[in-house]
Amino acid sequence: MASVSIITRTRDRPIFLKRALRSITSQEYSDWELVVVNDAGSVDAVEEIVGLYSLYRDKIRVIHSSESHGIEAASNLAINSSCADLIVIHDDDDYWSPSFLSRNISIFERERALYGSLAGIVCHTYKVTERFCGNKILIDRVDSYNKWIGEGILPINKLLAHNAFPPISFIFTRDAYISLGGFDETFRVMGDWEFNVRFIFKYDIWVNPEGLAFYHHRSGGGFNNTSIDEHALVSMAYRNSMVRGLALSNGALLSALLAVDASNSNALRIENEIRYGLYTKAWFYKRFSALYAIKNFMRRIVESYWVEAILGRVYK
Amino acid sequence: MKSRDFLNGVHIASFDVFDTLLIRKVDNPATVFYLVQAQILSSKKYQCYNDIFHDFAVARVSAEKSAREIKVRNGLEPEVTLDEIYEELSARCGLNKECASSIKELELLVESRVLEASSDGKLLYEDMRKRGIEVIFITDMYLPYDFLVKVLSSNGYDVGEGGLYISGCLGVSKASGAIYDFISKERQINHDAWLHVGDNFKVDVENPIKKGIRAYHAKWSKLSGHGLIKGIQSNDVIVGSVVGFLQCKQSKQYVPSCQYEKIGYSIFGPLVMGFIFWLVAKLKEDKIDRIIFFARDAYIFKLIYDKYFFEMTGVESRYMHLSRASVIPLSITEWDREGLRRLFIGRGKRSMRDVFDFFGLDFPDEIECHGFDFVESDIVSEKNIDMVFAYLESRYFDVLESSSLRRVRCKSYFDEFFSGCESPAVVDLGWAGSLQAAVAKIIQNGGSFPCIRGYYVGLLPEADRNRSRYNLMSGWLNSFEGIEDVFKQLRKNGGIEVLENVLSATHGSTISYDISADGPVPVFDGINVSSQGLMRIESLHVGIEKYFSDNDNLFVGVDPGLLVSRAWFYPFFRMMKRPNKYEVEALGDLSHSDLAGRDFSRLLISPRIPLYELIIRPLHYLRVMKLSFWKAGFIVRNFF
Repeated sequence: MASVSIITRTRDRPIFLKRALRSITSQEYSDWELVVVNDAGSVDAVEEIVGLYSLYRDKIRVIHSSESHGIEAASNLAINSSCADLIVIHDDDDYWSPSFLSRNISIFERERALYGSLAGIVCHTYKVTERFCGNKILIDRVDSYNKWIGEGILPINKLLAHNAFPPISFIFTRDAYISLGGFDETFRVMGDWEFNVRFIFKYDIWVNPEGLAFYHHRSGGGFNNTSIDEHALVSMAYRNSMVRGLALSNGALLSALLAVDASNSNALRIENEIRYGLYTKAWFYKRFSALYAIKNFMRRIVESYWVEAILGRVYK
Repeated sequence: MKSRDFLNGVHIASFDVFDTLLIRKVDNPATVFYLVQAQILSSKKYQCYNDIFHDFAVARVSAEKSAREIKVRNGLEPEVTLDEIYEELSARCGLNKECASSIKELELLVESRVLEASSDGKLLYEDMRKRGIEVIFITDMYLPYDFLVKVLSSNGYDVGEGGLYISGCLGVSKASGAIYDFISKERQINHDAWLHVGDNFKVDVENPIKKGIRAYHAKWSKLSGHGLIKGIQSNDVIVGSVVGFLQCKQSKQYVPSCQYEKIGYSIFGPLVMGFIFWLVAKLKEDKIDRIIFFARDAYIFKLIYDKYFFEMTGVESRYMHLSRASVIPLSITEWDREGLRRLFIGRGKRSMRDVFDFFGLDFPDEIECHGFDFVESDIVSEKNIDMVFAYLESRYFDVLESSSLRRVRCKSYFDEFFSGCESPAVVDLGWAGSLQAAVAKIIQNGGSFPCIRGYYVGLLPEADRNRSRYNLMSGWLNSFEGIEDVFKQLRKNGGIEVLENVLSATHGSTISYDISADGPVPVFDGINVSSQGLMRIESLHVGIEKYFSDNDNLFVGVDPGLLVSRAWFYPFFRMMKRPNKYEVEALGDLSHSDLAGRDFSRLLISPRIPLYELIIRPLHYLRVMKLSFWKAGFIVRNFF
């Protein structure tokens, strides 16, 4: 099986980094190398945490950046200094199930033999809501995050509609990374989504429906994730830029796509109206129809064990 | 010894053959033609005639009817020979002589397999022989003389020289009474000293009496004349007839007298047979090269498969020791809160400590410091389970890592079962495929892995959660349209629990795996069923096995796919819905636990509870009733 380079970006979050290293070193798959990029954070803290995992010291490399150039630049820096065939980004606050690598890589190799267009695999993800209590992290909830992405080859439209998966759940090939020219370092946030969109325009991504990745969010205080508003703004700006790009290169195609979209929206509205109408009728029938109540009552009597047993005996 | 006064003064006795001395192990003679049809459709030899033979049974019946009509038109009795029937059949279907002859031989072969001596008939026959009474045989039949002599001899009846009279060969019959005159004339018999024995009141009793011959009505067999279900598919007709035979009087010579063996034979025998035929058909269809039976529920399937089907399929089988308690803790790779939570909610009882043991975590000393209000001896219930899972969720990575450590340690035990095969299958009773999913998570983890197919008696909708692209599942009952309703009733009626008890092995349940010098080995719990309970289950298994040994030769040469039918399942379904007292008394005291792993509260499937308890402790009474798995059984056991 292929070896994998794990990229961890961190900056002054030793508590998280320790948990991330625990997640990585607990993997049942052993052919990995880890590159930790300390993005202008405390050198001592990172070295101290990495030192705790001396057993794996020859598999772990740390790159200290004295100046932060952004999260995507950190990714590119680490990936370019690694060498394995497969790449995965494990952010310092996230977590993997111990079978994340072994299971996903097994499936990826199996499916890639059938579908040559595959260059990445993504698994379902759990969203973990946690909070800080002093120096301790308390986990409040673990919920499914993206079951809706389904199973099998990921459709392009799903990825265009949403940032369907976080980096923690995505393993991709180095060849694909190189051919795409890496992450766009101009993105302050959602650089991963932009990379994924470029990725899926060129390669296919396999979706493993097992929830083997855990995407951690803080519910208040401490190290909050980036505000959602900024994500929405960046997302909209990126969508507009894509449409603009298409308008410039192929205006006719864009017009056709917009027409299809308008037609689909109209069809959806009509379908909803029909559904809603039927649903309303069924709802009233179910709740207020005397006939339904009597029928239901009779059915219950007929199906009861007592009637069954008594009739059985009488018959006998 | 029965009184045989009616034999006094008898010097010669004539026996009817079919349903008097010989019985067919089906409830309708026409089933033989369906069995011939199945043989034809299973054989490559007749592939070219497939369009003709897909409805052979109907054509065969019509040909016989037509041959008889021709005789009547010619002013003769409607007695025909097999040759005449096949001449008619050949003319109708355009068969060449060679093919017709070959199918005729096949029909004789099937007849010889279906026919067996009637125990009552044989007793009377032997008694007569001992008394020195001369015995002759009379039958209104189309079968050839030599064939019948051979069948009678192989079943212990000595035909002697010229002692067999067949209407088809002679052109005279019992139905008209002419055959009695013919025999009387040929053998110069004194009618007063002649006793005729037969099952058909009109032709075997009334007609001889009219001729002054003494007659004895053989009432030990009766054909129901129709299959168990009216199916349009030949599968249903054959199976309905074979299963329906158990309702016929003459089947009592096969059914064991022991209470448990009898139930095993007549209720679970057909069910297991139906499943195994479906399984064997699936093995062929899916090109399976190894079959792994899961302990303990698939134990009897493995026994039967090895003994009766291994030679036919050539697919090697293995037996894997596992249970929900031993394998699910090794396979927790995701935090499936609802799925895990369901393992602890049932009618049985489980302590908080057991829950933590299951997940491989130490019970926390400072639990109250986290704001959780439970102690390790508390019983898990609907009320407090969410609190436990809230705590476990906060330590989800500990749960995953603990499972991983145990998985890595025990993986080789599971890998060994799948090594060296390309298309393995697992077999279990049912119902959600959680064991298969757990095994798949262990073996399909790292490196190339095989796709596993699971074959089950039935699958509940919950199985969808456990299926995957590499983990396919099929259910025998699920393969029939409209079975959902039957299945729902079965689930409601405790059928699942009864099956799990009756079909499971009597060896202990696997609770974990130890690491020995040879690698991981299963650790069994003490057997938590009483020795009496074990004996009952073993007796049930003896009954099931006897059903196979009795019917083993019936389906030789028939493609198992042609025997897939829901009719196999009906005796069991009837019992679960409308049990009789006999069945409830036999099975009601079997105990069951619906929780994974260690349990200290096995519940009786359908307990007996004195009626006065209803007055003294009504709430207790109702609680016991609510907890009983087999409600219909509970009512029959306690109120009738």
